[in-house]
Amino acid sequence: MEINFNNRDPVYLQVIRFFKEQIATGKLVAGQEIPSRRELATLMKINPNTAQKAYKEMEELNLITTEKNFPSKITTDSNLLNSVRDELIGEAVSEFVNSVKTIGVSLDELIEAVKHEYETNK
Amino acid sequence: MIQLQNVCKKYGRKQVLKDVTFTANKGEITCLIGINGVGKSTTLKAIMGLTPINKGSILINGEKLKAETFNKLTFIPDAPITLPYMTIRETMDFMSDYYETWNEDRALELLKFFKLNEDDKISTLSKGNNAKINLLLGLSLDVDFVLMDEPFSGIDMFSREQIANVFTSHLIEDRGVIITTHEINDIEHLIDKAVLIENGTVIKEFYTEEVRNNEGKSVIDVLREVYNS
Amino acid sequence: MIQFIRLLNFELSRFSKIFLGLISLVFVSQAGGMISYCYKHLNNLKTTSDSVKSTAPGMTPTEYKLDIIYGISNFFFYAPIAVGVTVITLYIFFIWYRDWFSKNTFIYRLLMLPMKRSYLFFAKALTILLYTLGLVAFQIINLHFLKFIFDSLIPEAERRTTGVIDLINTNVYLRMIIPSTLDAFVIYYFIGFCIVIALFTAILIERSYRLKGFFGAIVYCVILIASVIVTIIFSDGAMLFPSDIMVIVIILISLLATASFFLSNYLLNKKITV
Repeated sequence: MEINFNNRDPVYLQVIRFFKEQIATGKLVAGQEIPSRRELATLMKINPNTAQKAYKEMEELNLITTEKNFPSKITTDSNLLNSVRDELIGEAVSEFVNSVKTIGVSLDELIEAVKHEYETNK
Repeated sequence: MIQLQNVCKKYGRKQVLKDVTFTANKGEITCLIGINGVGKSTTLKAIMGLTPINKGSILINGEKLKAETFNKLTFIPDAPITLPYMTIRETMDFMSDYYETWNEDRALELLKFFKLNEDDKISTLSKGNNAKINLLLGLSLDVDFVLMDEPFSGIDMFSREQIANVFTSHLIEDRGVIITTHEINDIEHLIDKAVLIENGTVIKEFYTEEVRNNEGKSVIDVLREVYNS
Repeated sequence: MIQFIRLLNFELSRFSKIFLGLISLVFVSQAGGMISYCYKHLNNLKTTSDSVKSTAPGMTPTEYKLDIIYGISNFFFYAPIAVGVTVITLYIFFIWYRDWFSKNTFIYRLLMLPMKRSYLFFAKALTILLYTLGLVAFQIINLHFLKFIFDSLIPEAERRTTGVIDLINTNVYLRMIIPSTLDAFVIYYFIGFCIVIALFTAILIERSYRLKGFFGAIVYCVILIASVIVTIIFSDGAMLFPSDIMVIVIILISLLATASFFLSNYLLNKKITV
């Protein structure tokens, strides 16, 4: 679980994002056990309170479920898991569009450029 | 909870601490950051009753320091405080003789964790290993608060890594930690609260996640702002 | 209490090697001195009696008997005592300063032990007292051993039968470290212990206020000495018996030592700095 944190975004949000990416790319699957808060803190070299906060937030988002005295698991709600992927794509696209809009590019021109970049940038 | 209220201290004419006020909670890692000058180590020593203060109050769980307080908090200075002629084993036995809070299992675990040999004499240890002994002795006490003075200074890279791992491990769990540093890089993501001390006075006290969340700033951003203003 | 005994034991153990060194020195040097004294005089006796025989046949040699009193007034007997006194005196200071100025600053640990800091003070003071008494006790034992050497080497006809007690009483230096009566002995070492307490206080004043404290410590000692001297002069002027003066001085010294202890305790708790 090597993760490069940036210093300006809240660490717990970066942790959540990391989990979402893992889910979106299928590295974490429905029902899979995840490390304890303590283990996560050690693996990611972050403050245990931060790990705790990230897990609490993910529980509230129903991304993970925790039953008493058992390790936390990724949710089995497939709709929710699928939506994670959509959410990440949505976020990335909106960020991208926002930055491109400032240059004043037309949609056609943009799609062409994206196609070209996507195919050459392997 | 450790509370400092308007703590002032003079060395001769020099004012080393000026109205130092901050709080360190149990279960949190509080970092005293200061780039220049004295103040940080003196603050820790003052909390431990190792140097007198001229004004202000220091309360540990609401009480002033007394003999029994040393079963509630421990101090890990940045230089060895062991006896060179003893072996690590003898040093550990010394601790277990005097501290009812000594946890032998934890000490053995730390010994393994730091890859130290208990038959080694203190006088033969490297600087990094001496720092690890200091940590081992401090962390093997079941106390509420651990105060660490510059645990990363002058120590080789691998020892630093090992020491940083301590912070995220169960060894720190639920305790209150106060740590001083002049270099935040190693531990930026490890700390809960930052207290900026400059020229003996607290110029800012904040929770790092809050500042990242609300202002989108890193600890270093905040430091930069404070120093440039 | 168990904590205090552990601490005392610990402080004792820190000096044990030096103590063993000191008693070995006393033993070897004094025994060596005694043996060489005896042989020297045995040779003398032989040569004298030879010459007496040769010059004056039939006459008994003049009465000449060796006495152990003279066997101990030599360098090899006094030197280890002087070394012992010096080492103990220096250790009164070293027992504190070593914790600040050794390679590792052990005073941090001592001050952070979960026990009253006055225990530290008493453990160190008792360490000095016990080792001093230990050296004195060893000296007394060694005097018996020296007498044994003397008696074994010198034929009975050639020596006087001075006992160890007489030996101590006739030697001015021995009398100084081993007063002859129990009362005197107790008073003597009680006063010594009070002086150690006063010196410890002076050290703690220096350790609390550093340079200012150094001068403060000197002033403190001067005040203590002056108050004892003034009391003696005053009582003498009041035409009191020497024994009464002695009682007054002992009471005064006890009070000063008690005050010193309370000052030390305050400094250790409130003013000491590492």
